[in-house]
This record gives sequence, structure tokens and C-alpha cells, in this order.
Amino acid sequence: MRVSPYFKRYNHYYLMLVLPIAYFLIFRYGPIVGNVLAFRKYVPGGSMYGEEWAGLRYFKMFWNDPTFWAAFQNSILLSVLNLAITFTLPILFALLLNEILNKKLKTIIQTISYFPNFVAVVVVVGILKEILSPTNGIVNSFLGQFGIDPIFFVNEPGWFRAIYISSDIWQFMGWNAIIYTAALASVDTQLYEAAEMDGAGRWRQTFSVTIPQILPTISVVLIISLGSMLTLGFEKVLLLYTPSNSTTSDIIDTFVFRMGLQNNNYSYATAVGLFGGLIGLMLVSAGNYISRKISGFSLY
Amino acid sequence: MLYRRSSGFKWFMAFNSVVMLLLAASILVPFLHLLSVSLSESNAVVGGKVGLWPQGFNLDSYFRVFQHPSILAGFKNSVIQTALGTAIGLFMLTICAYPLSKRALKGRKLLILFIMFTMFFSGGLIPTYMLVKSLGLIDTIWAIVLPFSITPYYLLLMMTYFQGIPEEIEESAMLDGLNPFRILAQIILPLSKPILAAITLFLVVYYWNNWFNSMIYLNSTDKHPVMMIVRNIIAGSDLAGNVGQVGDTGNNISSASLKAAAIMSTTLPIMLIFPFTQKYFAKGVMLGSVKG
Repeated sequence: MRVSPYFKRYNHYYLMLVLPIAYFLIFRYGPIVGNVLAFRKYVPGGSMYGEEWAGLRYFKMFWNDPTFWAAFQNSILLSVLNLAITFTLPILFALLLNEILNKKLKTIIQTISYFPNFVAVVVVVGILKEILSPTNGIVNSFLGQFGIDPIFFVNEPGWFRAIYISSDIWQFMGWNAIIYTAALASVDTQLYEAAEMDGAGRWRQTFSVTIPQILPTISVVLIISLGSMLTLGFEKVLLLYTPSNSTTSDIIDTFVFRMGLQNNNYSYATAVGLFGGLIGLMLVSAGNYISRKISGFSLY
Repeated sequence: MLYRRSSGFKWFMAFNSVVMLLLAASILVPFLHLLSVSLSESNAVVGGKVGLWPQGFNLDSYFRVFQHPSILAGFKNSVIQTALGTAIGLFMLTICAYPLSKRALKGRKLLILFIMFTMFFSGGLIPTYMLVKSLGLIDTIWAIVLPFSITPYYLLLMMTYFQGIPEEIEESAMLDGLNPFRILAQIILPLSKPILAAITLFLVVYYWNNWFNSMIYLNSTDKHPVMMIVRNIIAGSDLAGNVGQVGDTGNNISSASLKAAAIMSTTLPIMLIFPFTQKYFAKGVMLGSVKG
């Protein structure tokens, strides 16, 4: 049999891809297929795909479960708030950082700003619990000086969202700004000179040159963050979750974790997880569509 | 440039610099505070008197943390998980990214789509858990290092980098009779040090900081990495034994100091490598961001 010149030249590349493709089939698509468990009844010790068809039974179960809807609302609210804040602040931070002309100062601030990105979520929550502690936390002893009684922040449902979002800003703002800093560095300086010739001031230059130039980057980041909107920060929520703050801290992911891995309702938890995943997918598609309309840029 | 001479601009510059410096300070303050708590006398800690400067000085809480029965084993497990996970991850990412960076490769677009889809839709927690379980990986290190060996995002970064290497270098190597495996090992990888360094660091940080997968997949506590133990210490479930010990020796260490010392000592490795490696972190992201 004659081997085509193309294959003769490229067979090694296909050979290299065997392991990665096997990885994706097993560890990425395997669980996607495993979602069939949501429609089948799992019997302990039985197959991971369940033993018999159950139809939409598990979907109806969570559909009629008020604790699920509470978790669903918390998820959506926390995600939307978090996205709105942690998506816009890095852009602002990058724009302001870009205005600092002293190179050394700029590098120092930037380096410090993205250090927390590499700190473990366990450590971040540990720090939070420590500084917010009602007995010896720095925040409460500060408030105490104004005569305010200690607040048990991490146990208060009313404080959960503020704690979650502000710690996300603390941890990721600098890191998320890097991509904009890179985009800003590649803006052609001639554009600014031309704008200045036309009499544009600093503000005008920002709105007419800088922002349009980094708009494609902003779009990509937005689409990607929309896609991961519902899954982000699960570990932190889980670590911050206590029964007393559960009215605001129980989200879809912690619900799935509790139902599936703690209560062993595998099929039920799979159904909930699948529902959450599909909503995530819808959000990416929507984000992609909006981005294509606004900036002409889309991922697919 | 006219606006740079205006007084309004100078005011803005000064104001902006101050704001940014305050921001940078607010990032460091929690660490400084915790460091102080871990080093302070326990009376001061319990009284909430410790701010940004240690009150008194002792390393007792650090000694106590390292006497904790599972911390040292945890460090060892973390090192093993991190080393194995990083090695497998780098290998898999490389052999996946390199072929896919060849534009002439037939089926390339389809394969990339096949991979990118998993960025936006994953199987979810329970099906992944069931899969790992049915593969018999529960309670083995493989459950930690195999399911996460290729991250599509890192793959994109590597592909973009490989695509930037001039094809002519490879053409001439191929004429010299090297096959793509040897080209990759002897020519491409030495040229790709910046991206390899960046990805290595990302993987090291990921595996060092990981605790969740160990919690759900590793039943034996003696296999737990140090972050898992720190999580238990912070949650308070692991502290009872320690407080007992403290009482026995009459050595008064507050639980806050212990937690702070545990947090500081496990973050120290990252703190130590960060200043020397941060340029690679940034470069890694910038390389990929040039044209997504």
C-alpha cells in the first residue's frame, strides 16, 4: 500500500496526539457522557451510568425543591454581582496603572497586585477568618475603637456577598489586569499623537483611542468570564460556607457537592449539576453573540 | 505633549500614584498582619492588640505547627503531588500543543474545537467523581494528577507560542533527517523556555495550592497534602489536639497564632519563588494575549 506523502510527513504529529486525545476522551468527555446518570437511577455499588432509566424524575425533584431555588438565586445573584465588579475593576486598574509614567513604580505596583492570585484559596479564607474574627480580628478591633460591637462577619448571611466579592477583588484584580496592560502596551502611540493634533485632551484620548483599542481584549475576557461565571470560586464558597450563613452562601455548586458527595444522592446531584452547566453554556453563547454584535469579535 | 505640562495633569499624576500605592499596600496588609500575629506573644493576640507589627517576638507557634503530627507528611505529599502533576502536565501539554500548532495538519481545526468545547462545558462534579471512582483511582495520587493534566487555557498559550517559532528552522532540521519528536525535543523546546517556565510555574502553583481534589479523592489522611491539613486547622477541626498539647506543656499559644503560623509557612514557598519568577508569570499571559 502506498503511503501518501502528506501522511508520511505528518504521521509523527498524529502519533503525538494519541495520548492527549485519549486524555480528552476519558477525562473530559467521559464525565460529559456520565451526565446520563441524571436520567438514570443510581444504585450504590452499581454502574456509574446508573441501573435503570428514571426519565426526568430527578429534574422534577429539584424543580420542586425550594432549597434548590434558593441556591439557584444565590448563584445567579452572586455571579452577576461578582462579574459586574470583578470584570470592570481590572480594566479601570489597568487604565490607571498605564497612566503612571515612572516605570519602576509601575512595575512594583503591578508585581504586588498580582501576587495574591497565587495564594491558595485555603489561605485566603484563612486570612479572611483571621482578620474578620469577632474575638481578635483586626477589623473588629478597629471598629471597636468607634464603639461598634464585634460582628461575626463570616457567620452573618448579610455579609457573605460583600466578603466574597471584596476578597475576589483583592485576589484577582491585578492578575486580571495583566491582559489589558499587555493590550495597552501594544496600542500604537501614533494614534495618541494624531488625536492630540486634533485637539483631544486626556479624557477624549482615553475614550476615543484607548478603550476602542482594547475593546477586542475586553470582549474575549467577557465571553470567557461569562462561561465560567457560575463555576468560579466554588472552593472559596465551600470554605466560607457555614450553616448559619447558608441563606446567602449556598450556591448551585455547594448544593451539588452536598447532595452528591455528602448525601450520596448521585443522580439527583448530577441532574442539578447538568442544569447549572447548561445555563453556563447558554451564557457563553449569549456573551459571544453580544460581543459579535458590539465589537465584531467572537470566539466562534 | 501639551497635556503633560498642564497643572491638572500633574495633580492627576500625583493623585493616581497615591491611590495605586495605597492599593498595593492594602494587598500586603493582610499578610503583614498575619505575620505579626504568628510572631506575637499570645496575650497580645488574644487581646486583639496586634496590628501590623508583632507585639513581642517568639517562634513558638511555628515550632508547634511543625510538631503537628501531619504537617511534615503533608509537605512531603504536597511536594510529590506537585512534582508528579507538573511533570505529567508539562509532558501532556507539550505533545498536545506542538502538533496542533502546525497549521497544515489536517483535522487541526476540528481537534481544537473538540478541546475548546471542554472549556465551556464540563462534565460536572459528580460525573467526574464517578468516573475517577470507576477507574479505580480513588485514594491514589493518580486521581489528583491525571484528571487535570491538560488545561485548555495553558494549551492555548503554548500553541500560540509554538506558532511564533519560524517554520524554516524545522524545515532544515527535517532535511537533516530529524523526525518531529527529535525536532520537538532538540530544537523547539530549547527555544520555548519562557513559555515552559511560565506553564511550569502555573502548574506548580496549582498543585501546591490544591486541596479540594485531595479532599474528595484521597480517603487516607496520611496521603493529604499540606493545604488540606491547613484547611482542617483553619476549620478548627484539627486544633483540639493542639490546644490540649498547649495546655499540657503550659506553653500558651493562642489558636489564632497557630492558624497564622500554619498559613504563613505554607504560603512561604510561593512567597519565596514569586519575586524571582514573576516575570515569567506575566510573560506567560502576555504571550497568549497578543492575539487570542
